[in-house]
Formats: sequence, C-alpha cells, structure tokens
Amino acid sequence: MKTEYTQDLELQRILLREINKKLKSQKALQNKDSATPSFGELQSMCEQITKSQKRASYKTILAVAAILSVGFLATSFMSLDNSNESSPLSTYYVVENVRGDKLGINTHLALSDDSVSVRILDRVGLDAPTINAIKMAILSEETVEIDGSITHKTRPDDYSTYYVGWKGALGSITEPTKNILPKSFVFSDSSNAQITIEIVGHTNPDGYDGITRSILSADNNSITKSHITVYNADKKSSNEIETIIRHEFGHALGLKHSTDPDDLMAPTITSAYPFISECVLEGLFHLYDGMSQEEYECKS
Amino acid sequence: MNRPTFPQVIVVDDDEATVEVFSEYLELNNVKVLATAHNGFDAVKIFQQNRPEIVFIDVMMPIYDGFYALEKIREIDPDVPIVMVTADLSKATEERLVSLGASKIIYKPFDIPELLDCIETYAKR
Repeated sequence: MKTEYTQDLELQRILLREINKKLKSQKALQNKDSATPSFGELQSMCEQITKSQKRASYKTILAVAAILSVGFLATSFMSLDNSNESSPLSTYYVVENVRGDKLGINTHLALSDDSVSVRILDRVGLDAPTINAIKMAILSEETVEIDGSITHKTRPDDYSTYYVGWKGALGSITEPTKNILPKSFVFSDSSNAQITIEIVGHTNPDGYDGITRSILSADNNSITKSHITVYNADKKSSNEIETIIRHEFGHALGLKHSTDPDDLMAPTITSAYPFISECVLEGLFHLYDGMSQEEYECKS
Repeated sequence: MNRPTFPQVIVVDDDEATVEVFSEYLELNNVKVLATAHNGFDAVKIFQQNRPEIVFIDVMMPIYDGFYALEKIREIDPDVPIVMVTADLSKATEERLVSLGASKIIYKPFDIPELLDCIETYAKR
C-alpha cells in the first residue's frame, strides 16, 4: 500500500513535470504571438493529460515519461531546478582583550545579575516582521521536536528537543552554575548594552554573513561586551537573519564554533533546522560552570 | 483568468520535489508562489511574512504538521482560504481538518483540473 502510494505520488510528479514542460513550450509560442493563454485552454490541456493518466497503465506512463525526459534533456535549455533553498550562511567570531589583541580563548559573559541588555542598530530599515524575527531568536521560549535522523544524530523516530530562542533555551537549565547564567534579555537603546546587534546593508569583505566581536574583561576571565554584525541584511530573508542572530548570539554568550556540521554553532550554517540543541546547552552549562568549552564533549 | 493581478499563494509540503514541481506548475498557470516551506512551523512564518490569498498545506509533515499550521494560520486570519492536501482518506482526519477551519481538502494524488478550479474559486473572492 505504501509502495503504491509512493509510486502514485512519483507518477504525479512525473506528469506534472511533463505538463510544466508543455506549458513552457506553449507559453514560448504564445509569447511569440503576444497572446495570453486562457484559463480554459490550460484547464482543458490538464484535463486531457489527466484523462490519459487515468487510461494508461503505470508502466506505460513511466516508459512515456522516460522517453519524454530523454528528449527533454537533449533539447532543454531551461533547468527545472527552481528550488528556493537558502544558501549556507557563513559566520565568524573573534575574542579580543581590552587592547584589541585577538585571543584564542572562550569564556562566559560577565553578569551582575541574570539579565542581559541588548541593543539593535538597524542600519537598513528592516520591516517589523524581520525585527520581530530577530527578537524571537533571543526571546522565544518555543521548542521544536526534531527527528534525530534528520540531523544525523539518532535513529528515526527518536526525537530531540530544540529551542527557537535563547531565553527558552537558557531557561531550561535549572542546575546552578558557578558563574551567573543569563536568563532574561532586555532590549535597550543604550550604547552601554552588553550585546549590540548591528544590521548593515554592505557586504563583508571576507564574505561572512555574520560576525561577533567580543571584548574580554581586564583579567581576560569573562566577556564584557559583544558586537554582532549581520551583513547584506537587505538582501536576506527574515528567516536567514533570524538564523544568523541565533548563531551569533551563541558567540556573544561565550560559545565557540561546533565541529558538528548539522549544529546551529557550525561555522557555516547549513542545517534546515538551525535551532538551539541540547548539546549546545550542555556546552553552555559547562562554560558557565567554569569548564572551558575545549574540555567539553557533547554527550547528547 | 480575467484578473488584474495574479493569485498569490504559499505552498507547504515536506517533500521538496513536490513543492518544486507543484510551485512551477502554479507559476506556469499565472499563480504567484510567494514562498514555500517544508514544515508547519515555517508555514506559519511565511504566512505572516507574505499574507497570501490562498494557502496550500500538506497535512502529514514531520515535527510541526499541517494540523498545527492550519490551526495557527486560522488564528491569525479567520478568512484566508486554506487548502489542505492529504493522502489520508479517513473520516477522522477530514473531520479534524474541517473543525480546524480548512476551506477545502484535496486528496493526493490530486486531480489537476480540480486544483485549478480551486484556485479559480478562491482567487475570485
């Protein structure tokens, strides 16, 4: 039954591709004649193809489709691949001391209480939904259950919890840590905000989509401030900007890049589900509990 | 279609190949596909961002399914036509979809003229 259903859907895809090809040819001809196809003509054409679909056997249609496909490949000048998958997002981060020397260490954010001030500097005039998406990457408490096989971590049907926003993610950590773990985020216009998010329209010369620059305290033991920059923002979707913010915010909290290519904190974000994993949280917990992230290997 | 503008839709299905070929088909029929998504969670997002005239949602998707997307989108907009696409012929699924506010249910493999009729019907509103 399952196999038949899959075959039916595959058959429909093949037929739709064929219909699309015919429609393209028809449109090309009509463009030459400057004529506009009527809805009735298109519907009639689809009906004819659907009727032939019903009459023909599955094997016959496959054979016809295969022949048409070969012919199509031989003569086609247009690619059918019009998928709109977003490109991988390239990121970078740097940790500096107060003199501006770059240091290869990672540490926690310095806090007097569990509240962190965040400032958004919008240089491109983002629309309200995109600004909201940025805030959601930080403030959302929503979780997503993802089949581990999708992220190549577990068997199918073994689901893991992922967090959409850092507030929800950090709120799930209930064990006490040696250093204060951030739990709430307050948006502010103050230049003294601990984390500044700057949204710009220009391109990063090294091709990065997002960069975080963190400044360490005088004793190099904690991060005092971080500046996140998102580049080419006016050419990015709100989903992409939200993903970059989610990633860069992890750096602002002290995380370094992950070696797991499917992880949110991978240097190049390719995951279809770039949310905050339990693994990321384990690393963050150990970082705030005094263990360097280099010493920590994810168990989940 | 004697319309001053093309109908604008979003398409949601976890099968990327289906989304690709279905979207192309719609575009070739002068239907503007504003955005696509592969799960219910992203469906709600792209709906909020694009505010289409018609929404096409596959029911069975991993993580956040079509029921989730239908419920959330219906909360946002009680009037937008939402066409649910499913291979599940059960009465229970149909009743649940109707109770959540589905405007129409199309069964996979769908009848292609029926699909165009559906767009014509809702885009006229």
